[in-house]
Amino acid sequence: MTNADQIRNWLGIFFLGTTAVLGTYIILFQQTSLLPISSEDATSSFKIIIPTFIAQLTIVFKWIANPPKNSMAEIRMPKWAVMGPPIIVVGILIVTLAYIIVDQGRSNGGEIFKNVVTFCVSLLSATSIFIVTAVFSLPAD
Amino acid sequence: MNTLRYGLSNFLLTLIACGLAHVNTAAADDLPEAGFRSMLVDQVTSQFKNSVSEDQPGRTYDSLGDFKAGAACLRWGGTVREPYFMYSYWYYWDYKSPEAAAKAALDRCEQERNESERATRSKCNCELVLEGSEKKVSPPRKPIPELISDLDKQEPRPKMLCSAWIKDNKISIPPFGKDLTCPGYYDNEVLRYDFLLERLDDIANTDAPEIYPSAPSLRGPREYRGKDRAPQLYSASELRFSPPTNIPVKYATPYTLPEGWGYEYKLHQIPTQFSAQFLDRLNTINESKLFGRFPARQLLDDRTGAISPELYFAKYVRSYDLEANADVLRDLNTRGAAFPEYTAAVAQGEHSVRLWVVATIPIEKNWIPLGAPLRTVEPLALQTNKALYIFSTDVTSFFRYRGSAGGNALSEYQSAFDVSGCSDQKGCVEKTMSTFKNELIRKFGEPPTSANLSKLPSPPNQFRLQRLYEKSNVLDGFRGPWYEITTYTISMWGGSQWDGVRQEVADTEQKPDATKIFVYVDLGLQIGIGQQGKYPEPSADQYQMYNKVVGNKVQEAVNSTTALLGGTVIGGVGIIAKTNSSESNK
Repeated sequence: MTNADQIRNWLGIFFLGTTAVLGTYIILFQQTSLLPISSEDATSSFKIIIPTFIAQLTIVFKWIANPPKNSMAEIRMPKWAVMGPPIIVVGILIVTLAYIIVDQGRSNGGEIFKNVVTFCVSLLSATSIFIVTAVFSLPAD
Repeated sequence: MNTLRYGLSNFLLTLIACGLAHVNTAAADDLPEAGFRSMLVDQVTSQFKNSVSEDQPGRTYDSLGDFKAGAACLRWGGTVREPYFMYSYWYYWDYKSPEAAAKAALDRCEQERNESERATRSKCNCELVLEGSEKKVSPPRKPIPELISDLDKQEPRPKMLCSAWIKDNKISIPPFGKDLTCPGYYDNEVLRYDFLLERLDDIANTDAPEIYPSAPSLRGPREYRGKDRAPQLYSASELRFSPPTNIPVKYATPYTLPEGWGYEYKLHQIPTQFSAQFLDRLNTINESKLFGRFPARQLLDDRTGAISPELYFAKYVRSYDLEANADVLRDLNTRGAAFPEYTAAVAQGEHSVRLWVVATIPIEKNWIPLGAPLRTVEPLALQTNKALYIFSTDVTSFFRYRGSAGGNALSEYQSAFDVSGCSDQKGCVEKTMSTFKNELIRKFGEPPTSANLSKLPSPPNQFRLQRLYEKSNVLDGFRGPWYEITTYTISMWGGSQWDGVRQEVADTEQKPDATKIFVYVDLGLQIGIGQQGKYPEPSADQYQMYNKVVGNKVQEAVNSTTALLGGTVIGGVGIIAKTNSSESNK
């Protein structure tokens, strides 16, 4: 069992950090050796991943802006279900980026990145989104 | 006493290159000038006698009588292609003596000349051609050395293959970039030559039965229109050098080329020490069985849309005795191959002896011949009384559009070279353009362009360099890595003034008054971030970077070409004052 605030902090930091880093990385380093994909592929990837992350951030910060008085309730969720999907997604993205950087455009990196991003968003949509919704929508008492 | 006149026929003696059939008398004469003079005498008398035979069906000049003579009104020393022109000819026979017949012929000629000169302003002089059987015509001494010299320039003698290019008695040209130095050959032209003799591997592996058709006759069959159901021959045609491209009409073969393209042949002399081995090879494959069966596809019938069954053709090697058929050479369409009789080599008494060809015949699929051999043959080799030559094949277009390759950026370089200071401008233009082409290939092969020469056939003086699916060095930097599909189609031509690039010009066009050499580069550029991904149209700044590099490369090539030819670069233009004559064929 995990403390609710711990979960919220962890998820909030994850979504904030991931959205900021990934968005900035795609914007800054597209068409370079750090992200050797075309601007079209970069824009597509950005459009796939960022709205999902921004939506989660909106939920998180809406809750933070108006927190309930008693938010320390214990939540009955296994730890792996809360932390697993974000860690896996970050891992997949790091491996993919490493592969694309090493490959330096010899393979179709843009297509690979788009597919991986789509997969990650799907993974998060099937997992973490429900947890975020549950954790950040407790009624204020 | 008999006379016959042939007045003002404007009988054009054919081009010297096409009409030198009887040259054997020149063989004994080692002096070029004397040999050439002897050849001209033979030519005039031969044409004169042929004309008499045409006037007197069933008779010849020699059979006319004992006391005879002929005169003609001749103009000498025009051009190499027309060293003389015969305006009219006259001959008399059965006179009291040859001298009397000669005087009568000359007098009659003079009389007609004076009348015709007033009427046509023609300029010719009456000369005695024959007195009895004695040749009397006398070509003027002065123009002949110039004619030989000009003939060497206009119809260069075949070049000799380098010994290093022959391995195991086979011609083996090294790839570009290796040592291609061979006197007379340009690196970039020799790579395009295809030697048919080295591509007859299937001649030994044929499963054809023992059928040995004869070669197509050197002389075309005369057209014959029989009565009613009598057999008829289709219209006669000259024998010409070509692969079986589209015969009969409306059939396409694997050799059919796109509209406007054609085959071209060149002769190459085999080094003397290899002649015997190559002759052995030729004699081994001569009189071969049928081989190389291939189908011909009929194009859609305009009227019915019907498609008939496939036709098949097969090939076979045969040879012709040209000594016994020397007179037919002028009717042979050799597609660019200059026989010794067509060049100044004739002045040394060189003449053709034997010609090996690959002939083609229509067959059923089981190799049974269905008709006469085609009137097109692919030449293999030529033996003369002095050397052995091998034919090469090249594909060339008859026309090209300057700058219509579809490149998406164009760089024009007006007047890359100025050769107005050269005494031999034609040779100077050729040498400069060839050197420039080599330098362009070399410079564009170096980074950052790192482009290779495309092996696809292209029109003369136009070639393509390309870098396909490789990392772009030009755009190397923080952005990227960029991959490129880049083609540089480079054209150059000689002229006296800039006449633009967007116009159709004949490939054969080489203006004699060319004092400048122009060049342009058509740049086809596609840039992708991934090697296997999309290659969209590049951005404006990418175009700009490439254009800058192309400009630098062309200028570097101009500079190095000018340095190689001993000229100076002024304002980016290479000023070429002269190219050594010894270099002009390198």
